[in-house]
Amino acid sequence: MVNEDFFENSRRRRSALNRSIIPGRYGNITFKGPGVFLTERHPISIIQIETIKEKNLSALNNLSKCLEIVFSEEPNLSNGDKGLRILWTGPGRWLIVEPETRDLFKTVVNELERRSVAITDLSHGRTSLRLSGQDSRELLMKGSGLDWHLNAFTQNNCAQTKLFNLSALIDCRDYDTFDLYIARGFALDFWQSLNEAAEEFGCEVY
Amino acid sequence: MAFNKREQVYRLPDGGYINRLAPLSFKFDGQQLTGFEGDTVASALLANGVRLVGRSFKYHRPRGIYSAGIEEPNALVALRSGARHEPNTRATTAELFAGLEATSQNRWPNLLLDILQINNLASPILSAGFYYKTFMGLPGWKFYEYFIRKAAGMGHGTTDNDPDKYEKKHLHCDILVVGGGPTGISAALTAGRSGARVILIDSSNTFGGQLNSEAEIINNQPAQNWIRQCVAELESIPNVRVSTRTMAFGYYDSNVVNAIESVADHVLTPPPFHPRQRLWQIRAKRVVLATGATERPIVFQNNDRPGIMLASAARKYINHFAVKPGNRAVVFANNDDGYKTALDLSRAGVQLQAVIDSRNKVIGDWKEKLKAKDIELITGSAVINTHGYLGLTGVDVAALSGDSKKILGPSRFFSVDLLAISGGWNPNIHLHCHAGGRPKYNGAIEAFVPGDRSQEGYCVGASNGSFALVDCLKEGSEIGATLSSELSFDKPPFALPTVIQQPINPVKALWRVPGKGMKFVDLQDDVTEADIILAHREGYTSVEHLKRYTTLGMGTDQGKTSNLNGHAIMAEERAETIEDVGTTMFRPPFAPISMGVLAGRDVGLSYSARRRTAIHDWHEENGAVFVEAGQWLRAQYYLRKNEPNLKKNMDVAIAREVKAVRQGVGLVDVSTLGKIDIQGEDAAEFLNRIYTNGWKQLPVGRARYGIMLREDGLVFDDGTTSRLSENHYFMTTTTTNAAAVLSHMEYYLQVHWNDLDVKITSVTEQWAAMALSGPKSRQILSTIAPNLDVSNEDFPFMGVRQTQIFQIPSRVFRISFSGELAYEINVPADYGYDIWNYIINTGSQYGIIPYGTEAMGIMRIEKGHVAGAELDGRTTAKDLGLQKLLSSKKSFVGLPMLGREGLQDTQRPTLVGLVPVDKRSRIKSGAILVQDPTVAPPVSKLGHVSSSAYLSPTLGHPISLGFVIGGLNRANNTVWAMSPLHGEYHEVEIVDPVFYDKASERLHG
Repeated sequence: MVNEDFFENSRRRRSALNRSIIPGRYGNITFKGPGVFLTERHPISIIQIETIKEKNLSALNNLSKCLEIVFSEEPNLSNGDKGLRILWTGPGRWLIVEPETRDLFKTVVNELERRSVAITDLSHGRTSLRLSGQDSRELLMKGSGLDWHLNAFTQNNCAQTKLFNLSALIDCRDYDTFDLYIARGFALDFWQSLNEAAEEFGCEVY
Repeated sequence: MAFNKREQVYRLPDGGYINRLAPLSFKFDGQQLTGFEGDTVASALLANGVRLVGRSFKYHRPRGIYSAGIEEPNALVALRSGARHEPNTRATTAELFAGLEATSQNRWPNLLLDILQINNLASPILSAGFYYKTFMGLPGWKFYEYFIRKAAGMGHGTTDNDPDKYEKKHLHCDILVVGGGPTGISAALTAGRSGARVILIDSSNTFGGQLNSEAEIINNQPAQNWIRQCVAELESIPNVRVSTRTMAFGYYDSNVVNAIESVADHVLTPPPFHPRQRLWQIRAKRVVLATGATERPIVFQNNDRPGIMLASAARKYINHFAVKPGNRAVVFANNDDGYKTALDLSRAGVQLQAVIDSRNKVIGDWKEKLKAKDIELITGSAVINTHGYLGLTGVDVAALSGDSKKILGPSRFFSVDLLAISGGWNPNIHLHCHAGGRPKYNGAIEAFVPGDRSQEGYCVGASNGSFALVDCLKEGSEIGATLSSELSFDKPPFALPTVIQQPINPVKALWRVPGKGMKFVDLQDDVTEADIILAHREGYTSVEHLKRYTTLGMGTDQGKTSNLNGHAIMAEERAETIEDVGTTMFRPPFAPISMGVLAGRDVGLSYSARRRTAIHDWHEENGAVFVEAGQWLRAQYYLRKNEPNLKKNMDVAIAREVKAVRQGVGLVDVSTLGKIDIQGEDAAEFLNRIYTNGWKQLPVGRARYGIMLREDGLVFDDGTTSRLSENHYFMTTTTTNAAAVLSHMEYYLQVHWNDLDVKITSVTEQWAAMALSGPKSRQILSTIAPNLDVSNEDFPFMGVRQTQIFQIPSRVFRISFSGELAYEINVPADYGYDIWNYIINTGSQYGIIPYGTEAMGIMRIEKGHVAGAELDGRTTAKDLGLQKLLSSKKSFVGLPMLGREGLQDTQRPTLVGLVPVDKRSRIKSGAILVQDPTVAPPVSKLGHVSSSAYLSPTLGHPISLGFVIGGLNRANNTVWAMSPLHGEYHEVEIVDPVFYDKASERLHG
């Protein structure tokens, strides 16, 4: 059954970058076009699940079947498709992320035994950005000490790291496409940092 | 721009790596000159016949261009003007660009006529330690210091803000090769071919290193062809990154090398959107240090005149820049560089008067080659003095005794304007030493070479003391192959190129030529042989003391041409070997770097990221003045239209806001409070251990106030925690301690209590929080949450409810910081703006206004609530009057240490209220409480003022909270609050810290 209230509320969500994202091309745009593309992924659902007994993956079986996705214990890996993503963020802890098209929190709660899994809705607590383009890795090199080489941080790698002096979770979606998750309160300054860093490559905000 | 050949009279008609089709106009001390693309400032000045470029540090002696690289001690100039003015730039490395402005330094009124050249006459008394011996201890040092600093020194920086941007970049690789000379290229190419990830960097604007200064042949072709082919191949390998104008300046732990890429130092202003410089932090599995070597001079009388330069520099000006460094020359050396230089000078058309070799024997065909050019060779001799003032006009040459300690026979005079000197080569082992490696002395080359290494950094080629080209190529390719194999890459083929190698005569150490007069060891710091002898005589015989006493090896060149000579002279004075005397250690940076590039983009407002609540935009739109709390921007107070941000309006706004809450209703954004979600079957037990009070009996739907201690027993933080369901709690912390509390709890869960089934997550950002406060708050809540029973019976003080507001799932907590009936409303952050707006609109009929942190702070002081100023890491629960929260039925973090004698001392200051006796004076937070302000220091301290409300609108006078020995036992007595820094002393009365609603009837009502 469609929950009309949910969709109505989803439409009312106000992004932390509400006044700041102005589509257009900025910086050093050359004949090759922008080197970097930036946009916000909003509204988005972000649910953290954490097995209370660590490594108790069996607690996630139902959810795994329901979401048709596997929870991997391997550190710093993500998986999923263009919609739903699972990001490993610590031992026995994952973020389930998808563009908000359903009440994901409710879905997760319904499929899990809460005594064995801690479930926390972080959908409003993080701002998610999509960074792409041929110079996206060069841009990440400016702000983070991780190894951004094509062979070192590949598709379905994710990492919690310092990016432009702020803690960010980065999910590699493709060789030149990354989803970034940043605390909501820092979103505006982070957005500005990202845009300034992108100017050198030419940046398109969409 | 048309190029007039007469403008560059010293430019050779052909050769060099300059672009003659791109003439560049520039200014030196206001004089319009031209050079070519590819020139440095120094080569362009020499091309124009400019030899005098600066004045020396102390004696203001005329100085010229001494080297052709980063080691330059003399030719320091200021580049650019205005906000981009940069002093102390080496003319020998600064690339020429159109419109460049260079200015000489340390002279007045101009370079030719420098008044302070009078210092040169006073040089006999201006020796090392002169200022200390003469002025220290005398009255008026500040007076002398002003003139001394004016008289000595280098350039002056600008006080304008730097208009350029600086970037940082983090790189990783298997093998980092520092230095793009023959050794580095060989190493990078071999490693790159193996498949390893390789980074090759070089500080100059082109690869090739020393090969660019020589007329070498590789594979029967000019060496530059080989360089071009190698670099082209490197650039074509996907895993290889090459970068010129990138100087490695420091080698740190964990094989981290920092380098600076000069992105736009070679142009007038950086291109739009580009930084001026970029800091590279490179993490490499292996580092190849192919950093080459630096030629050192020989110390003799008046060895500093313009026209005297290192032999390798003379070759570089000829071969690289196609500049003739003089018209008539003598070469003076103790190694084979003298011959190479002589032949190059001769080829460039310089009239070579003689080659002076301090050695007696020479093998190979050098003699024949000189003879073929009709160049006189004088062996076993030395230049013993020079002549000229603003430029070299001649040199005196005499024979030396076999041990080089005495001058034999009469001297010969040679009329020259160029003297090229070479005292041998010092391997550049700076980065090796940065990494923790030690230097060791190699007598065969009379220089320090790399000793034991402490990291995965390998010196090869000239930096390892191997100066022959064939050895450099061989060592480079071998290290590239070896390191690739170590890292499990295939060993690649590398055919060693063919080179013609001359036999090399061993260098014969000659640190100083006998004789008297001013013999400069460190040209940049005007340190002479006499200074070193003086230092020895006065007991400063350690090389470290020598450096501090004489300034040998200080300055922008850090002794690159002077250290070894200075240390060798000290060794001779001490009658010990150089090895025994040792050398000072190299520290980063290898060469001067700009402060801007270290800061990167973290300047101005970007220095620290600011954090905004979900309601921030509303505050901005409605006259809020912001204050930083931690990193948060919080609304401090709200100004209305037509209220400019003046102090009087601030006071009006704050009073208005307090009054609204006390009499009606107000709304404050408290989203910044830390919020922690706690889940798990053992959550109650966990809280029971973290907090000092009991938590096991807290029912669902209720909140409780608690304090937590540090392990040392002092209060760490306070806040409320609510039980949302059986195993689900919601904790709030103070704004500034949110992260620290989360870390504290994670630490205990992961290290000490990992048996507890508890998971915690920060949800500070998930929830927008607002406190609806005031006697009319219940009426508004009942309107915005119609499904919620807000009666005092059903929703009592410290009750917690989950409901919907404006169709949004919300949490409502009946807790109060203001002392009024209040509700803290939490909604998911993306709805924060809308819900706040909704409450303000709905509450308008009740006169609701927003209030900021100032009003909030005043009301909590009125109510006697403690906050960050009281929880300052020095107070106990008892100090704060919170001893009732210390459970005696359980243990908790901090309990064992709480029993310490110092924390139980009855003389500890405890919380009190303070009111100025005159009911007017504003008491400053931090003021010290004393019994008598007229007593001379040291004054016995009774306590201090922690928080102050300059005016309590509720009470009509200022109030404060503070801590005083004896606490409320002193009630109704007076003490003095003194703030000596402000010259303020106010008598205050000690009162109960709860100024308002002592029975708490309002918040329970």
